[in-house]
Parts: sequence; structure tokens; C-alpha cells
Amino acid sequence: MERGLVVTRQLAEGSAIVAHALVEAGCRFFAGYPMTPFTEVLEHMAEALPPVGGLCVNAESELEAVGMVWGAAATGARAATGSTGQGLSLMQESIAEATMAGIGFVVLNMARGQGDYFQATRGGGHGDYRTPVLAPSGPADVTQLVAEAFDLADRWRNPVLVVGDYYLAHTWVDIEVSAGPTVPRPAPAWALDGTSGGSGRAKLVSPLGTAKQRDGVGYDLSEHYAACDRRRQEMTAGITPRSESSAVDDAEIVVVAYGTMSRLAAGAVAELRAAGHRVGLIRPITLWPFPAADVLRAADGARMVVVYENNAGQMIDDVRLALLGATPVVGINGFRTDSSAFGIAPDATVDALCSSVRSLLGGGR
Amino acid sequence: MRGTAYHPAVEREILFTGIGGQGVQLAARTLAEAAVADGRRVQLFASYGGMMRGGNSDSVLVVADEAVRAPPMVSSAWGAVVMHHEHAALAWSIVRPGGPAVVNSSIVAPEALEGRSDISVIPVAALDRAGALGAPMAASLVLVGVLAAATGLVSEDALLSTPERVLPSYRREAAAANRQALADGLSLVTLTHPAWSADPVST
Repeated sequence: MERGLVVTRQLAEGSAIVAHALVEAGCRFFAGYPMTPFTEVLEHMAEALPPVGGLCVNAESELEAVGMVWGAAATGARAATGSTGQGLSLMQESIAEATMAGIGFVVLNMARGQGDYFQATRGGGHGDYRTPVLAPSGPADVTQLVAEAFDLADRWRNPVLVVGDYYLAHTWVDIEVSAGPTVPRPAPAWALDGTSGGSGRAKLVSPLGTAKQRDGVGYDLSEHYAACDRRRQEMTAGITPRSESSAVDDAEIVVVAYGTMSRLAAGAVAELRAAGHRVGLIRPITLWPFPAADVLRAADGARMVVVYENNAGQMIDDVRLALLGATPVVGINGFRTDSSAFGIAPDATVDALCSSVRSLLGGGR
Repeated sequence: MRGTAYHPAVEREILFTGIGGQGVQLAARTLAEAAVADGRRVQLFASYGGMMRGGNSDSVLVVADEAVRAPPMVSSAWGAVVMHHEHAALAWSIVRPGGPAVVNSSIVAPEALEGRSDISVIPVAALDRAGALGAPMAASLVLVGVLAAATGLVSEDALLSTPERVLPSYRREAAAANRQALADGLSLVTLTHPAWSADPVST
């Protein structure tokens, strides 16, 4: 919010808040192919970018969309694309290659549920790469995390994922929306400027390396791959895993949940605490790097850790790795979804989670 | 949380249900905008299938006197606005006993109400009334007006200020008729289920 000048409280749809966040963060090129619930963001970007001098393209497919974003980012623009998990499957080759080209951009996964946790945190592309992954809990913090995603993409010259879902896209909330000019960010020194020499800028940005006119002929790929590896290691060490936790200090049961599910869990923890039950919550904000040390600390003294996710059980693997057997881990997952097939789980409610946790509390050791 | 006592906020969950094209989403948006204008905190979750018309169209609105903590996915609701019997079963299953359900009796068959005599049904021939106003597409807003009058969930002034804000620019000409439909609903009933005073409904 501090980036803006005018702040008003208004009713806004999550997808519009995501688009607003992108524009506020300085995104000036956006490309994508429609797929619910990503379509909603694409539509808002088509409206939001032209007035600020930006460009939004409805591409022929997700393959073209990520390729266009690669091109825009290579010129130093803040650029983003996105889709649902299905569309991101198509983009994996380019995302992997971009890590080797040293090109940073933001990729939204407006997912249908949370079934793309593995895709986001492991990546479905080739090679020895990683992509940072940020998981907003909802409309309230998506603006901040999108800005941070661009900062990470710039800092590490690496694609960065922001994961949302249908709930984020389709929930209207009253929110303080700022409207003010964003400070244009100067193009980085390596960015292409259209010249083939003389400007000191790169002539080529590709997965085989960044080359200038005088760099000579040919590439030493082993050197390039070693440099990519060094950058990945620096990035891994340089990004502090983040989480937020509440009521974990004396908790018998600690719930681990991210994204929309973390807010349902927060509601359940508040109700259970009000009824005198010792239940706490830890919410990973970065899914990669995973806040393993935070989870271990939160679980200290608990007799059980519950991983609450809207998939068949994926983050539970990272939680088990974080705990290394120190605390028993139980998954609450595998929710039926409604007929829309957009990942809406009618049984994922505060009341239902309260009742599940109550039976776990009553179940003894 | 953080060691302090948890004081649950007063939250009023309203389920809007009907079929696509009946103005279910507009009705929910309208009530949400009015609540924001009144200074309340809201969350609204819209869910509808891929069909333009004929498929189910639902929305859950939570209006509260402080920030709404959990996402608006609920297993029970304080009240409902029911536009069509085709998808009314959800309303009958989640509205809490005593809760107000404003029902479009122009369309909803009486037998749809069987089995939940503990819900406080307010039948309104919304389609006929909106038709008489020359705006049959505004039927859902008649029901919103009735709900507002019966519950005081939003103020009259706030409600009547919303039509321009909730319509896309290419539909702005419908604002006057929509306001008429809201006003018609507001005039039909008096306060019977106050949302914000002592709670007459089991929570």
C-alpha cells in the first residue's frame, strides 16, 4: 500500500486485485491463454495495462504466452504470464530454459485446487533448476507477495511462481486499494536494447548464455552450466524461507496449511482455541524454499501435525521431510470437488475442519 | 490467537441461489456493495458453471462487523435468497433454523419448501413484481430489497446507492430500473429478523 498515493476501501474481486497487484509492481507486459480461473486475471490485465503504457496479449496458447514473456523480460521489462496447472504443464520447458538464460519473470498459477504443489515446488521441466514459489493466503496479502515475486525475479534472474486458486480469483472482499504511479524501474545492464553492438548491452540472451558482440565465437557450455549452478546455489541460500504461525507454542495439534486452506485453518484454530482446545497453525508463505525449520519449531512439543490441503496429499511430503519423524503427521486432504471442476471443495469448511481436529484430539495417542 | 481471548465477530452468511441468467450474482454483489457502503466488512464467493443460462449459480456473502476471518465457504448460513427451485436444495440444507429465506414465489414451486418448516420463508412474487415495473430482469433485486427490509442487514440509503456501481458500463442504463426493483422490495415488508441487534436466530 505504501507504493500508492490514493487509498480507498472498496469491494473488489480477487482476480482484479491480482491484476492490480501486478500493475502496481511494475508489470508492463502480460501474456496468457484463457483458462478458468486464470482467464479472469487475463481479462483484468487487458483492461489495466494499456492505460499505464503496458501491453497485454491473449496468446494462441500457453507456449506462445510464456515465449512472449521471455522476450519482454529479456529487454528488461517486468513481465508476467500464468495459467492453471494444466497450462503451466505446457510452459515447463520455457520456465526451465529461462533459468539457464538468467531471465526473471513472474508466473501465476491460478490453480484448480492445490493439486499443482509438486509441479510448483519441483518443477516439471528439465535440468537442475529451482523456481521460488510464493503462496498468498488470499486477496489481503496477494499485492505484497506479487511485488516480492518481481523483486525475487529481478534479484535472481529466475522465474518466480505465485500460486492462487479459484477461491482467490472469485472471492470479492472489501479492501483498501491504492491507486498511484509506480516508479519505473531502469532496465538492467544486461537487457537487450535492439542493437547488435556498441551499446554495451547484450546481443543475445539465451539458455546458452548471455553474449555481447565482442565475446567471440562459440560458447563454453560447461562454464555456462557451472555459472547457472552457482547462481542457483546462491539463490537457494539467499532466499529466507518464510511462514507465519499462530498459537503453536502450547499446541497439542499443529495444522500446516497454505493459501486459501490456511485461512480456513485460521478460522478453525480460532474457534477451537475459543473452545479451549490447544491447536495452532503454521502457514508456509514460501513453498520453495520450504520453511522446514519453522515447521519443525512449530511442531516442537505437539503430539501431532495435521497437513490440510486441497489435493490428494502433496505438501505433506515436505512436512514429513521437515520433521524427519520427530512428530506424527496426519493428512486431511482428498476432498470431493463440485461439478464445476474448478477445485471448489464444498467439504473444506471451518466447521468440518473443527470437527476433524476435535476427533483427532479425542483420539488419544 | 497470540494468547488473547477470541471474540467471535457477528457474521451473517447469506446464500444466493438460482440458475444462470436470473441475476443471482448481481443480487449478491448489490447487497455486498451496500454493506461496504454501510462500513461493514464483507466477503463474497461466487460459483457458477460454464453455462451462460440454465446452470446453477450460487453465491455466499458474509457480512460482518469486523474483518471476516475465514473464506466465505460455509456449511451453514444465516439466511438465503432463493431464485429457482432447481438449485434450492442447498439453501434448505444449510440455512439455520429460524433463518430468513426470501423466495421467488413466481417460480419456486411450493413443494420445494417441504421438509424445512423451521426456516422462516418470505415468499415474494419477484418476477411478477419486476415485470410490472417493466424490468423482469431485475427480479432478484426485488428479493434483495425484501431481505434488506426484513433484516436491516444493510441500510436503505446504502442499498439504493448501489445500482450504478455494480453494473458494467455497457449495462449502466439498467441502473434506474434496478433501483426501482430494490425500492419495491424495500416497501414490501417490515423488520422481522434484525441482523444486528439481539440475535433472534440460533447461531
